[in-house]
Amino acid sequence: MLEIRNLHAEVEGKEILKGVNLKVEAGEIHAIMGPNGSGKSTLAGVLAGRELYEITEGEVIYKGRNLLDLSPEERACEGMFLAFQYPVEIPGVSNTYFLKAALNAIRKYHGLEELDAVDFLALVKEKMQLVEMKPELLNRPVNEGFSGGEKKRNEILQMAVLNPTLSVLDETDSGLDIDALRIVANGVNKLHSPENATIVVTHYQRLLNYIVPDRVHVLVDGRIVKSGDKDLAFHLEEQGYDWARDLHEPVENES
Amino acid sequence: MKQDKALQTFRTSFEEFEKGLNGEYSSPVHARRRDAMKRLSETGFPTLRDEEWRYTNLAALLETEYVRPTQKAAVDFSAVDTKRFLDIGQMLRLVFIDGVYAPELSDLSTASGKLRVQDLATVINEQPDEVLSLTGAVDEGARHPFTMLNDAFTEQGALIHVGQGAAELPPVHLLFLASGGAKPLLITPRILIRAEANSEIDVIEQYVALGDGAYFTNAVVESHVAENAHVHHYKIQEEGPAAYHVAASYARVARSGSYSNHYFGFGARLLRNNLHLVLDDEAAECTMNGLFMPMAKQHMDHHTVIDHAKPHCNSHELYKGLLFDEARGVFSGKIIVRQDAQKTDAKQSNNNLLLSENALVDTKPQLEIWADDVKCTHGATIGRLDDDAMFYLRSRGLPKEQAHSVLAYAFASELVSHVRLEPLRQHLDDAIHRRLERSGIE
Repeated sequence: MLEIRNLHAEVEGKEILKGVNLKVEAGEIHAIMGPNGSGKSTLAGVLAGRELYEITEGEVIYKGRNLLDLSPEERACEGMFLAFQYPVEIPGVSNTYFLKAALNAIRKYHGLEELDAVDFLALVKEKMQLVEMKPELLNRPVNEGFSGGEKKRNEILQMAVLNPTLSVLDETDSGLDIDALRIVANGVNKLHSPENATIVVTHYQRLLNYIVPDRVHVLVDGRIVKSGDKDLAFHLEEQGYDWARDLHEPVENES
Repeated sequence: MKQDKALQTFRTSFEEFEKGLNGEYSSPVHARRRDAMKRLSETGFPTLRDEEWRYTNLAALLETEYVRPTQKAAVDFSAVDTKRFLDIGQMLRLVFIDGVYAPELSDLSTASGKLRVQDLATVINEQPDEVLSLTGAVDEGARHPFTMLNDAFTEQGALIHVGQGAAELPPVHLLFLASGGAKPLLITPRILIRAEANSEIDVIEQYVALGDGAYFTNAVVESHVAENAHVHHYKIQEEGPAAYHVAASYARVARSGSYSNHYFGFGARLLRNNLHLVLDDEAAECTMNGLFMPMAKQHMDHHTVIDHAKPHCNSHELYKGLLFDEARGVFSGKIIVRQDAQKTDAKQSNNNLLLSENALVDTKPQLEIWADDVKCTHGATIGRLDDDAMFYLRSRGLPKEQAHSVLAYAFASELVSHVRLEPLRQHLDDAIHRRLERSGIE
């Protein structure tokens, strides 16, 4: 589904990603772990199409197309979803309006009829149960005044409504207490299917107790230095990232 | 000088106007007009060197030669469906065509003993003293030249008299339709509002152009708000691309009374809107909200003055500008707190979004505070659409153009939310969306 080949990316002339290779198949859950500043969020941002980053080398093939040629909205319409580490507050735009506009933009892209208010509301209500979200949050402006947990649940609600093929969760566990973490993870697990794939970007192993990955990759200084199964996460938790920093030679990722 | 030449043209117009007056020539209202013309001749029109006018170039406005509209409109409006411009259910409607009252298009059937609405020409004729008692009360001594011009040509317009304790009244809609034809017209509406104690009224002042030609609307509204009375005044401007509009709204608010002014600007090539409000007794309150969305080469200039004359009064002001293309905007907001006005609470903000590289806005808050126990806050921002919000919307599938307009609408809609008439909110929403569709965001 996704193949990242030798990806290099810069921010304001500073190279952050220094040759990332990664292959993700449908039905898989991958975790990307790494210390702060290793390039995890940059990788997530590059995949979603953030203009901040300049790609200097490499390519990303998604469903057979060059992902880097697509605008952020085209990527979204092609089934790509980024759950933001810091979901953006948008005063004046209600959550419902935003969700409906997003869903209908994607439907329109696929030549489907737009959902009317009634059908849309039924869909949202069903999906809201998944993340145990308070109904009143629907009528509030997007993320405005939401608690940290509510913002993250709102991300997963959007994911549930938009039904993406490839989801990238950027530090979704940050700022969550254990109950919220369980709810969010539960939502992600229920949305997982053999047809879609998930990339979980995280600093801590904690989240991986709830979302069990098929593969774990360690990103250090803009490169994946180690890949393994879920046990690698435990190993990291015990040894710390200093251990990974010592792995000088980047390894080829064999998926 | 353009200023002198313009003055001469207006003087000639004034002489012609006088010739047509017959018996009214000797009325006290006309004595006031003559006095205003005289004062205007002495004062002259402002130039860019005047501090209050430094951002707004009047050259093109003053170069144009205007004629006064004749009683018979040049265009046949009889087939016009006035609901087309604003349909908000039951209301009293006065329609003016090129500044002249059109009784056949107006609807005063829901007027009552408690709510008297009349066209001004009739009132000038029948009760000139009432007109005199309601004009010039707010800013005598500080009238700006364009208000003097309106004083000189005061004839058409409306008088709205809300009786003591009258509330739950239908809104009053004043619709000014301009034909925007080949000949530039001088249109000088005067609107007088008197709300007696414990009354409440909504007044909608709407300007619409049907053609693209040049004309000059020079309007003055004066509101007298008695004890515990509440006046909600909405001004909607949907004029043509060559229209000039220089207007002033004055209000004086008595104890526990309130006056709110809601301005929504889409039209006119050049707009200057002056607001001058006096909180004249304790616990009086006022709101000044404005949204202006100039596009192309439109120029929209807002000058507001709020005068806290007495203690324990509140004022709230929020002006927002969304500027497209090569548009220019000006906001100048002055808050005066007199020595006597302790415990004043005054808030002012002006937020602007520049939606193109070539749009420009000048913002100038001014505080004059003579009392020591007051709360005054003011803030101004000028910015562009937020990149993070843009990316967030696009990452969810919204095309760039749609994301732009969603964010621009969100910025503008705050002002719509303060309008208490639901159907009017709908009208304004539609107008904002139309403006967003018509103008490109870069």
